[in-house]
Amino acid sequence: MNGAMLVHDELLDHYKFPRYRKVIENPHFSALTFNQSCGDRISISGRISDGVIIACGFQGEGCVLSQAAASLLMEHIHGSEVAEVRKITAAFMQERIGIAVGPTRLRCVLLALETLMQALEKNQ
Amino acid sequence: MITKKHTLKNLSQYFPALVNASAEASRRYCFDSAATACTLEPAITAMKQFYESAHGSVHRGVYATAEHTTQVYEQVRNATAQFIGAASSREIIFTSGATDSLNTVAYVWARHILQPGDGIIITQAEHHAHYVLWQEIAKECKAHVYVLPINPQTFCVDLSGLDHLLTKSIKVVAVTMSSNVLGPIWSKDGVLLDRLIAKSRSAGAGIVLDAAQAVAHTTLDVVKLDCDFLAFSIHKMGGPTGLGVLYARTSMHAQMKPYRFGGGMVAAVASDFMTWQAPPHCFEAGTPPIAQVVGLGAVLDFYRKNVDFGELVAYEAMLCAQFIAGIKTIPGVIIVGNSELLSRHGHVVSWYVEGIHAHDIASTLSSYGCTVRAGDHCAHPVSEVWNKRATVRVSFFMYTAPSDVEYLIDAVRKSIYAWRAVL
Repeated sequence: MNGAMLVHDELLDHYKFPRYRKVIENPHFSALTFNQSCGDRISISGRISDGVIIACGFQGEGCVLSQAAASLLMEHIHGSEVAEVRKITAAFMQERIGIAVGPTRLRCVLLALETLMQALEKNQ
Repeated sequence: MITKKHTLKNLSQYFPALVNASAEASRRYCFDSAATACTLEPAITAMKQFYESAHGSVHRGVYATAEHTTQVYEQVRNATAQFIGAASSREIIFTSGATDSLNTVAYVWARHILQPGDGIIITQAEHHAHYVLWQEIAKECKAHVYVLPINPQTFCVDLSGLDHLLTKSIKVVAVTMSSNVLGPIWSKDGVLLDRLIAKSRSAGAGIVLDAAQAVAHTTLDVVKLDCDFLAFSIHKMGGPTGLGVLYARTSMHAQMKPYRFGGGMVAAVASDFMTWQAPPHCFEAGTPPIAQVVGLGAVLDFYRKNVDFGELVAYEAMLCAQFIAGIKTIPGVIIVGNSELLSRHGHVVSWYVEGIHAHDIASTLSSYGCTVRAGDHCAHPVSEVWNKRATVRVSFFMYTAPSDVEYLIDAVRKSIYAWRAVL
């Protein structure tokens, strides 16, 4: 943990070197959402084959938590079955980032997950 | 090093949230007063006494305690009228907050006078409470919203297009007296709000002022301001939440119709008709926030006895100047606002740091005990002036000490250097 900054090395690593920061061409699912408290945005796109996410990526601007959470989430869902991805909960994301945050910063953590769920919902 | 607290007349002693947190180890540095201020002890005591003593609802019961409650409630209405220079207490409508006050203006007045094709002028710096409201009313009335832009160099409202706009059928000019992001009180230099109001008045428009960020920081005189409506919240003055005020000039009353109906606002009701009371009572349907109004009475009494707005403006401006001088030399810090005006009559300073998000800075400052606001402050459109970046906003009030600001500057510097070291 980095003292007063309340983040740990894994989050910083995902923020500085985000995985899957890309746009997927001809996506089967995509969505764009905004964090209403700061205007940050995340877009997610991906492709599905035989019920499995075979390509995914995110774009966006924001704080360490929102960007690192998006990178962690993409890493987690790549190669996963869509049915399993749909079961990902807010509690999972909270546990995955590994730090305690209040309700307002939780919006930053969950922005990518909300975007992903909207994308899958739209493309059902 | 935290030095002995020195504030304007040591007014911090009247705010229990600050007194209770005075031990240095748990010291809470309150720099988010623009969102909501710490609550005044006299207001807390007055509301506690109200709840602990016999009381009734207002304008209903004929027993002694209900009559007394009604008298107190109306005395506070009268004191509120005096506080803002209104001609009559009939011009004071109690609401649930500034947002509710502005919505009330829109629904009891604007919706009835706007015709298809009419215009509403707002500024780019409006809070969503104003901005979104007029967008929605315009849609409903098939009217147009015209936005006066913010000059990206001066961070002031650009009035260069005003004369052209006023050649259209402008019925409403709805503007803030002080942006919750940019800060300065725009009526102070006589160059912005005064010109805007004078020209709009000549063109026949009704004037709606959002005074949420002004009411606790400068003298309000609705006659001098020449406004038709003025809205503010009490919790930003150190009073209770859940209470706001809408000033509605007497000459506008004939154009206003109630939009909330219920007990307390009617004059007569039969099975097939109703009539309503005269303003302000016809706009206060249901049991009003009586305890909060009692708290407001104590707040107004406190301001009357302790607050010289001339001194307060100079004091808060001095704190702004101190803070700006302290952070502007930190590499990457960009101040969003007119530093010169803030140093004359500001109480909020917004800023961002190149390469570090405002939320990350604010969370780190929280670990140093500094409460600041980060994000877009419910004012998305104005952030377009600096490419929609989230900002950190610090705000100062009568209880902020120069030593608090010094501590904040040090915490900002430490936070930025800590992030720079790892990013």
